[in-house]
Amino acid sequence: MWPIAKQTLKAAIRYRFVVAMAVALLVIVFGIPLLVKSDGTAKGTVQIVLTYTLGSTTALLGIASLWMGCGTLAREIEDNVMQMVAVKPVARWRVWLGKWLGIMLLNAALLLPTGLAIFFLINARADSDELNLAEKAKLQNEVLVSRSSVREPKPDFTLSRQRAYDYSKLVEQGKSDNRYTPAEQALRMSVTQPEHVLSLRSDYTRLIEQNENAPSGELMQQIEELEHQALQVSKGSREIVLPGQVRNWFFQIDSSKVDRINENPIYLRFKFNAGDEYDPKSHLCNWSVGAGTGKRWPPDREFDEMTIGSSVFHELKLELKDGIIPNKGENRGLVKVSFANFNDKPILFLMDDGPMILYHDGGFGMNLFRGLLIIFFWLGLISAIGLMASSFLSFPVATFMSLGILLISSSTGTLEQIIDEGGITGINHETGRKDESSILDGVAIFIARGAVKITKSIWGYSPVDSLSEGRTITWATLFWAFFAIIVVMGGLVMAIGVYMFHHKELALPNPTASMN
Amino acid sequence: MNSNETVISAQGLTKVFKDFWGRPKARAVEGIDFEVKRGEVFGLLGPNGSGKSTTVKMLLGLLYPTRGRITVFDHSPRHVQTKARIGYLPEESYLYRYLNSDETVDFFGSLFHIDSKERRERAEQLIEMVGLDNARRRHVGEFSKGMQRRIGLAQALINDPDLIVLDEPTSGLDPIGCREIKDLILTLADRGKTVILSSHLLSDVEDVCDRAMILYGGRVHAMGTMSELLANQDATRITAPTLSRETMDKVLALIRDDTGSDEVRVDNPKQNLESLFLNIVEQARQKESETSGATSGHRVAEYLRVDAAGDRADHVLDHLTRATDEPALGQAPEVTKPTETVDVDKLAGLAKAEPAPQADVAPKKRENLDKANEKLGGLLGD
Repeated sequence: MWPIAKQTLKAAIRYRFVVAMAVALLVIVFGIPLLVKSDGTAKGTVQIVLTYTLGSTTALLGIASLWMGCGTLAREIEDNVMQMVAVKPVARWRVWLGKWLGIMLLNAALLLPTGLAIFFLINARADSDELNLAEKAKLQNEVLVSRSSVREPKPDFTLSRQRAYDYSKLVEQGKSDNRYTPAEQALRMSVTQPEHVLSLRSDYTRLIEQNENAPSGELMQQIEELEHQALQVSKGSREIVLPGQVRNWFFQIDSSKVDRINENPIYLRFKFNAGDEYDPKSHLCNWSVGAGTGKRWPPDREFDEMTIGSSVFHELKLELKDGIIPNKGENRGLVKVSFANFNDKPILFLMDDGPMILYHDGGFGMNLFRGLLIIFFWLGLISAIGLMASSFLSFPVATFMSLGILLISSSTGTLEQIIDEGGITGINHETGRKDESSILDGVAIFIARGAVKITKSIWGYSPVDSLSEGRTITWATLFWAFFAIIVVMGGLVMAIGVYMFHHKELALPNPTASMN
Repeated sequence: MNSNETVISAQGLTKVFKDFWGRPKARAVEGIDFEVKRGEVFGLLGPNGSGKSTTVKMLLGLLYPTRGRITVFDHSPRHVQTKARIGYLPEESYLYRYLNSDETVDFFGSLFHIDSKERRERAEQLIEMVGLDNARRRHVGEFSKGMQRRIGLAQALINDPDLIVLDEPTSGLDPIGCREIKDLILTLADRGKTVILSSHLLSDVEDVCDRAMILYGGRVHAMGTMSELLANQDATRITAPTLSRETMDKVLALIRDDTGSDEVRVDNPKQNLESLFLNIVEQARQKESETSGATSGHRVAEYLRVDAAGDRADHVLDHLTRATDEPALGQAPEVTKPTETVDVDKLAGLAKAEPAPQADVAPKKRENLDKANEKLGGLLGD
C-alpha cells in the first residue's frame, strides 16, 4: 500500500500539481486579507479573514482532492498503467487504499503549512501596533480563543398517539393530584408537551375513538391536523416571546469547571427573529443573567437594555469580578438567563440558534488544529468519492458524478422542504398542510430524512464558523466527525469503490465497457 | 517443482466482450484448451485480433473468462500470491511516464516486497542488462518505443519470475534488441523458467519456442512442438561439409536415380539478414562511441543466472558486445558459412531432429519461415 501511496504523491509532484496548489494557497492566505472588506473593527477583520482563508482553502483542496481522486485511478486505468500494477502481488484493495493514502498525504502536505501560515498571519495581525489594547483584548477573548458553549437541553417533542390518548382520557376524569394510581402517575410524568397540549383538545379522544370504530381517511386527517397543531403550539411556546413576556433559560455548566471559567468573562450568544429585515437598531432587548443568585449580571439592575437588529448572531460579554457563575450551594454551575420583550411584536428565538453561554476553554492554536483536522476528514471523504467513481467510470464521467454527489449532499434545503411539507406533492396553501398524503410522499419523506441525516452527519460540523467565532471544536466533536465522516461515510464509499475496482476488468478494449 | 509441473492450464477458455448493456459485442476467444509445462517456451501465434492478447490477459487476471477455466500454478490468475511468480511485459509501454529507469524498476520491485537493498542491486543489473545504463536518469516518457520495451522487460524480471509472459516482446525493437530478447528468452528457459511468448512475428516464435499454438478468430487452429508444426514430410535435407564438384555430382546423380525427380536443389549457405546486420553494428560499435539512447545489452543480471545458464547467457549476450575478429565497418562482410555460435545453440534446444541450417543442400532457414507463413496463410484463407 505504501509504495502505491508514494507513487501517487510522486505523480502529483512530478506533474507540478503540488506547485500549482501551493501557489494557489499562497495567494489565498496572503491575498485574501488584502482584498476583503470588514466592518472596520479588528475583530470583524480577523473573523472575515479567517472565514475566507479557511473557506477558500477548504474549497480549493476539496476540488483538488476530487480531481486527484478521479484522475489518479481513472487515468491509470485508461492509460493501462494500472495493468502493470494489477499483475503484481498486491491486492486490489491495497492499490485502492494506497491511492487514497497518497492523496491524503498530499492533502496533509498542503493543509498543514497553510494552517500554520494562517495561524501566524492572524496572530501577527492581532499583535499589530495599529491595534489599541481594547481591540487586542477583544480579539484575544472573542476570536483568538477556544470557547465552549452550553445550551439549554432540547425539550422532548415526540408525540405518541396512544400515550396522548391515554393522558387525555386521564385528564378528562378530572382527578385530584393525590388520587392517581402509580400507573397513572407514571403516565403523567412521561407525557411530553405536545401530548399535554392535545389533552386540552376535547375532540382529540373523540376523533380517535370514532376512527377506531369506523376508520376513515377524513378522520385520520383531522387527528393528524390536531397533532400537528399541538406540535406547533409546543414549539411556539418555547421559541416565541410575546410582547411584555419574560422568557427564562437555564444553563447547567459543568460544576467542576466553574472556578476556572469564572477567571475569564463569559458570553451570551443569541440570535432572534422578528419577521422583518435586519436593522441594526430596531429591537429592544433586555437581558438579565444569574437572577436569584448572588452572581447577577448586570450587578446594579434587573435588565441590561440594548437596541439591536434581528436575524444575526449577537454576543453579550458578561463580566463580573470573581466571575458570574454561581460556585456555591445547590445552584453551583447553574446560570439563569432572562429575556424581557418590551417591543410591540413577538420575538422568536429558534431552538437551533440558542441562546447559549460561551466560556473560555483553551487556546486558538489547538482549536485551529482540530478545525483543520475536520477539514482534513472532509478532504478524505471527497477523495474517496472521487476514487469510488473512478473505480468504474471514465475520468470525465467520474468527475461529473462526484461533483453531483457533493452538490446534492451539500444542499439540503429541498430535502428539508420535502420533510416540512410532508412529501413531494403540493400542499394546500390555505391550510399550509397537505390535503392527502400518497405512498409517493411517504417514500420521498423516508428518502429525504435519510439523506438529510447523512448530509448533516458529514457537513454538520462547521469548523470555519467555529474558529471565526472563537468557539471550541471539542475533542468529542473531532472524534464524532472522524467517526461519521471517515469511518461511516468514508468506509461506505471505500467499500463500494474497492468492490467495483476489485471486480473491474482492467484490460477491456474499451475501459467503460461492461463487466462480465 | 518438477519439470513436468503444469504451470498454465486452460480448459474451454472463452471470452466474449459485451457492450454497456451486456449484449455480446465480440467473441475474442472461443473454447481454448491448452497446457504449458514448467521450463517450456510456449508461443501464442496469430494475426492481429486472433485472441492472443486476450488469452494473455486472462492468464494474468486482467480479463475474466466468460466461460471455461484457467489456472496458473494451480491457482486462479487473480490469486495475489501467485502473481509474485509472474513477470509480464505488455505489448505497449504501460509505464509511468514521469519516472526514470531506476525509479520504474524500483517501484515495480517494491510491489514484490523485495527489500530496498536487493531492489537497488537488481535494478542496477537489470538496467545494465537491457542496455539502458546511459539512460538511468531519463524519464520513461522521453524514451523511444524500443527503450520503453527494454525498461518494460527490466521491470518484468525484477522478481526473478518463474513464469514470464511476453506480449509482442520484440515490437519496436531494433534487430539487436530483438536478438537480445530472443537470447534472453532461451537463457531464462535454460534456467527452468516458463515463458509465454505472444507474437504475430513468425521468426520470433520459431526462433525460441518449444511449442506454439496458432490462433485465428479466437480459436486454436494448430498446436504442437515447433518440429511438429514445421516439419515437411515431403522433403529430405542433407547436411555436409563443402563438397567437391565431382562428389556433388555423384550425390546428385544418386539422389536423382533414387527419387526419379529433378527437384533437387544445391546452393551455398547464406547468412541471414539478422546476422549480417548484427555483424555490421558490432563493427561500428568497435569504432564508435557513446549514445544517449539504448545500448546493446550487457551481462544477464546476476540473480537471473545460474552457473551453466550464466555461462551460456554470457556467451550469447557478450557475443554482441565484445570485440571480435569480425570484419571492420566499411568492409564487405564475408558471406561464407554462417558462424554457428548462435544457430547451433538455438537449434540444439529447439529442433533436436532438425539438421543445422547451414548445410549446402538443406533448405534455408527462410524456408521454414515461408512454410510457417504458408500454413498461417492457409488458416487465414479458411
